[in-house]
Amino acid sequence: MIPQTERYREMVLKSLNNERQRQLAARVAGVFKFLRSYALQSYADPAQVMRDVADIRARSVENMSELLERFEERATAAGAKVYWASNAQEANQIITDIVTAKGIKLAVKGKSMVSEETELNHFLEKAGVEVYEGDLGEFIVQQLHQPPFHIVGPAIHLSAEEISDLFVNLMGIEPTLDPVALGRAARVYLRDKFATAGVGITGVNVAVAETGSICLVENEGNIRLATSKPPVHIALMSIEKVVADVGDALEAIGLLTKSCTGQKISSYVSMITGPRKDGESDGPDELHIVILDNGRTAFYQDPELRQALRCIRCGACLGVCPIYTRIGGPTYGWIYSGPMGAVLNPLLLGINRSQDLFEACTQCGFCQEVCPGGIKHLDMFNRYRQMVIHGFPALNVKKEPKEGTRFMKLFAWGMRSPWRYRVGARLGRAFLKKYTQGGSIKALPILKGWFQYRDLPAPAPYTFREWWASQESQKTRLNAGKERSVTHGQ
Amino acid sequence: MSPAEPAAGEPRQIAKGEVEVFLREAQIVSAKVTVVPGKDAIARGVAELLGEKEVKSMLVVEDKRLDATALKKTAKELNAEYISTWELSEKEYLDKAFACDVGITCCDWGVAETASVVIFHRASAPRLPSVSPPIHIAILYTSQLLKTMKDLDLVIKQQKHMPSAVTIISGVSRTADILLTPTLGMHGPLEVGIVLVEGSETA
Amino acid sequence: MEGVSLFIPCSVDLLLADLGQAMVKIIRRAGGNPYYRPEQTCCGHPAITSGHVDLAVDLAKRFVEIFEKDECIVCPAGSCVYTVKHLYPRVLKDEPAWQKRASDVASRVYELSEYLVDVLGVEDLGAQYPGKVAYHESCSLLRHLGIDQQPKRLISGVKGTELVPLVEADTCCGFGGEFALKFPELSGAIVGDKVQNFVNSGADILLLADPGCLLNIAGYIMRHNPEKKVMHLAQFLAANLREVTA
Repeated sequence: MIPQTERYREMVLKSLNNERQRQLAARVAGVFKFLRSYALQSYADPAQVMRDVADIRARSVENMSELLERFEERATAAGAKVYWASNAQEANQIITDIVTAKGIKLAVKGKSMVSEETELNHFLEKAGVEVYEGDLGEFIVQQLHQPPFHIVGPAIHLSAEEISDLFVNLMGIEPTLDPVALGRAARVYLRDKFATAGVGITGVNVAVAETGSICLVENEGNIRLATSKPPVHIALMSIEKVVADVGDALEAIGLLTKSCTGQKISSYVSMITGPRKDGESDGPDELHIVILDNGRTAFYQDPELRQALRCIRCGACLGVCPIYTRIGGPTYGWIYSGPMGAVLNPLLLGINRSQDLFEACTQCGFCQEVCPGGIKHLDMFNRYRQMVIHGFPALNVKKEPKEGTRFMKLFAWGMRSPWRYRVGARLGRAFLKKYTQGGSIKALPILKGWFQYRDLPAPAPYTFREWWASQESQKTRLNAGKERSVTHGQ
Repeated sequence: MSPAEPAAGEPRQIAKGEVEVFLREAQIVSAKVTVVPGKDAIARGVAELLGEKEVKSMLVVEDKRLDATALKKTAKELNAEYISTWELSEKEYLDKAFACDVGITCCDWGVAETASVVIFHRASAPRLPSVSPPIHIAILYTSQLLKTMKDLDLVIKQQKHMPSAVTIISGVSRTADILLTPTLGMHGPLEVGIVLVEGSETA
Repeated sequence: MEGVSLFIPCSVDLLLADLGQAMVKIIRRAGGNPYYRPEQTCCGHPAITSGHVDLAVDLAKRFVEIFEKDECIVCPAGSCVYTVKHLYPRVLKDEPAWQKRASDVASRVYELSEYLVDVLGVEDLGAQYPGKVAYHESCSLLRHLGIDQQPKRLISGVKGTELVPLVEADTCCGFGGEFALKFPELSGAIVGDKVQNFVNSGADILLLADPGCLLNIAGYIMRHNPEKKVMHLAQFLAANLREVTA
């Protein structure tokens, strides 16, 4: 997917005007939000688990380089081959080389955000490899050449008619609007691909340093098939996936599935350590693990920014975000959407070009409340704003004149002195009063955005401090102490 | 009763049991469970789980934890071909794994809190019979039942070598990718049955 | 009787004096002794959240100097309390001595409902209102400060008032300061949904406890649903206090 985060503003308007997409985004988010809160109740102490997993993520990110080294050593000892890719191009090249060197023409894939990040499918297809996404939703959007709508449900924006039309063309089935029948048709169609593919390509949900294992989380069984039948398994992971041990992995996965689909645990969790061993009758002969940086170590150097790497891609933040729930995923202009995207896209694509993603935030904090990684989204967005205002050469962030900076300077200057404050208050209130009609102000020559959808309540006839000075100072004397006792009208 | 949570700093002991929890959770993840009194009754449990279903072939991962002779008889009664994974070449095995109607496997562990069955894949425990057939029947002994995922972690920690794959299976494969409609059965089994055997697999 | 220093947000001072008056009235009814330091201006919230953190350093220090003498400081705006408690450490991160002083003061700053219920232990102020109200959980209270029960207890303390459920009560109203100006269409869509949920709730009045949400929702209602009413909890309580006879 070609990044177009610059077009966010324009796409917001398009999404808001698309009534169907808007309702859908709200409905989908509502369902996931409900499922998550219900699932969390299965913990004796949900808040404690949230803290524990946030702690696991924080520790894992802090010790990342050491954990990655250990992971490489253990995975290699178990027979896997580990590769390091510094960018998307390198990762794609490594994977394509492995596949083409073996003359493999057919690949089955498990849903993987990081492979979307590198646009791996496109790369493989150019090299003459046919790639089938195995996850039903991902398969559908792949066949329609559309970007995924939602991180968990890539195709939930599509109607049964649209999917039926696709399947009729692709598989020659009878038209049907029954989601179950459509799912069965895809099962039958993809069976053969799983049985005959030369390679299974997956992402990695969690990598375990202690054992050199990779953990894969899914519901459909496509990843299990892709990692059991084809003779080669290639797993692509970004550097932040590694945790210390199996205990950390299982605890994080437990919260991942609850946060994501509201399941206590997904139907399948596979913990894979090396290729198949002697005497085993299935499983791949080769396991290749490609570890991708793609700009992450650059911002890792900054102790505050590196918290972005705590994200476990559960999507809980999407379901609760007042912005996401109105506009849906594709509006964000790249593969990561919602608050997750507003945190990741600027760091991975560039802060300047992705500004609107983090500017479009009401600072309600719902995302950080539900985040299993313990990411403080609002601190991150604030930091990004500062980087744009002042520039940040370490990450090539250009200083940009920001609308409002001049006003803010004036505002802060005014607020530093009670005298200037009072003068400003008098002028400002006189200005507002000029535009007051009845109990409200309908429009002003400034603040146009405000008045597009609402009025402003008329200012009170006096300021609080005027009222206090005239009425209250007579009654109560300021007494820096707490002990003074005054009775009032009782 | 299972042991209480350990005090801070105290090493946690592996906690076992909680059949009721397992049964309750199994319903939530749409796994059918039948409890049988011992190894002798496993075949009866399998027959009960398969009920009136039309089964043409069953692929069995034979193992000392199940009674193959009795299972063969059950297959006959169901008019189903009985296929032991051990009597096939690798190629035949791979073909059968994608062609048979039922896969029957033993398990290494169960986890009560999520109604999971856990398989440590190794030469004696291949991967496909629990994922490629439309029906998977898992044989689990109550002595293998762990309380939580934390207990599974402790069990895994005791492994000298990690198996090439550990699979935690919790119910049937599923999706909600079309219109958010929950659909049981996607690429993995459409149905999962568990024969829960009272007693110990080593008895 | 406890002396309590009034931390009046600039929005309240400049636009919503009646909210400040209401606050004074109910604090007195609850047995507190409010006083006001007129040298206070703005806590710096808008500067900080828009990324102009450097511009807020002096404002944070001013706040500390003005209020550090006080034992107890109370504010009718969750967002301003959040600023002092959670944003000042960030603003003053390069000056540990100031950071320490700021966190000392912050530990004595209370949001109004928190002050009434947790500090003074008062839930029934002697107010009476026969009718239905709904409560909007301002993000600044609910999520940034963890204040959820206190406002509801105060509402339950009002005789004759029924608190009706509000769908999506815990989601944002779409204000977000600068956000409302920069993304008017998004902000408008969000506040529109909030007001629709309020209308559907069947309540006569929507109560909340942050002046930001108040200006936003009141402004929207004035244009689209003028028959409806939104009030800060303090305004509601003060307007419905029963007369006390000695």
